[in-house]
Amino acid sequence: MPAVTPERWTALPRVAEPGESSIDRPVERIVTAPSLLEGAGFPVRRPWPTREIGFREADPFLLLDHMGAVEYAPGEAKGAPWHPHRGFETVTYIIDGAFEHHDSQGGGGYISNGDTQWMTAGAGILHDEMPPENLVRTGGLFHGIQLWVNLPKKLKWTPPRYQSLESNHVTLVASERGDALLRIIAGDLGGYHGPGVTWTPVTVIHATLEPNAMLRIPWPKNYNALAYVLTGSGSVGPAGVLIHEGQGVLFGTGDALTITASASPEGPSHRLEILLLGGEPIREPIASYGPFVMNTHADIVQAFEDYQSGRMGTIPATNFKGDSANADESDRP
Amino acid sequence: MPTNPIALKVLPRNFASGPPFPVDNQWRPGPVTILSTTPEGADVIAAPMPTRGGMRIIVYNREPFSVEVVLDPVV
Repeated sequence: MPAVTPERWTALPRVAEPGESSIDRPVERIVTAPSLLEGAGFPVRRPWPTREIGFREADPFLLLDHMGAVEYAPGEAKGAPWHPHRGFETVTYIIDGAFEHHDSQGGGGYISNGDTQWMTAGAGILHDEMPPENLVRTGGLFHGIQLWVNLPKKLKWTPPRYQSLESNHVTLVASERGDALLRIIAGDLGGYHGPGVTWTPVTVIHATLEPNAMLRIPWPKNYNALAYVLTGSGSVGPAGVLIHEGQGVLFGTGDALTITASASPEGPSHRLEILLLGGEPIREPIASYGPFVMNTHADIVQAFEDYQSGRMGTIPATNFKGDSANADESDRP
Repeated sequence: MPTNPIALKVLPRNFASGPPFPVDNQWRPGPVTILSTTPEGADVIAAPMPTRGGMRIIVYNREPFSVEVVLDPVV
């Protein structure tokens, strides 16, 4: 697991455990993420939106896709070819392997081992997310997530932007007991701040727990709280509800979270790898269709018309891999 | 005429989607060919878009009545 992992966690600053008067958030729902294929056919597990954890419960998050972990054979790696987005943000966090991306504004980049790309689609953008050529050629390990974060109505039309959050900029802290590593990608935790700039209050953390480690952290009362197990197993909440790889957790109200790793977590790292997510709910109507998330049906129709007519952006001809003589025609979405 | 055209019934001012079709890493969206509509000349638009289950051709019917649309499935 190359996601940034220092050798000695004990030297890191520690997040103080919440006091005895704090209220540990109970587990409200557990969901085993269903599997499906995305893009050109890469497998994902999607804990939300599901019947158990829908838009209302996940708010301000819309969707979580767990990509892999998968060991691609040569020629097998697949990505998500050109597609549009409008009305929200995509957060792509690569744990192992790499993705390349290009967009209709001429932007692009490379995300690998512990990097995060935080893309505000806002008013609309076309992009692709692809395995780099060397990963396609030689095969290899690929493991990551994509999280969709909603934007409030007043920000749906904000211009698209990118934040490249490189792994060496992620805020690293340890639990008070020193046996859990917390990578703060965005938001606040116990006075420490992640590098991601968010439009609404949101916290995104990748935590790694040693076998038998118990993590107790403060969590804002006004945030929702979700967790997703990337690898390993353990238990969550004051009642110690068992969880394992591929399960999502919705917590109830309170101001603290408790996560415990099992004595021998399965998986390549032999640790519990878990995402901890929360934010201030936006509580606005949601109309969604495919890659568009707006507030009304009329907004969705407009997004589709804008995409179909090319007003949402066109694919840069420089990225066209075929006959350049056809580029003009092919640029039309 | 394509060998396997898609026929969709689209409700008034609503969307309909075709079956998912395979794409590879080099695929890029192109224009969708609408072969016919019933009633003839109905105002519909179509484009390929990712939805649950993969890439599909999506049709939007701007008319206040239902429209039958026949599409070329190749994008």
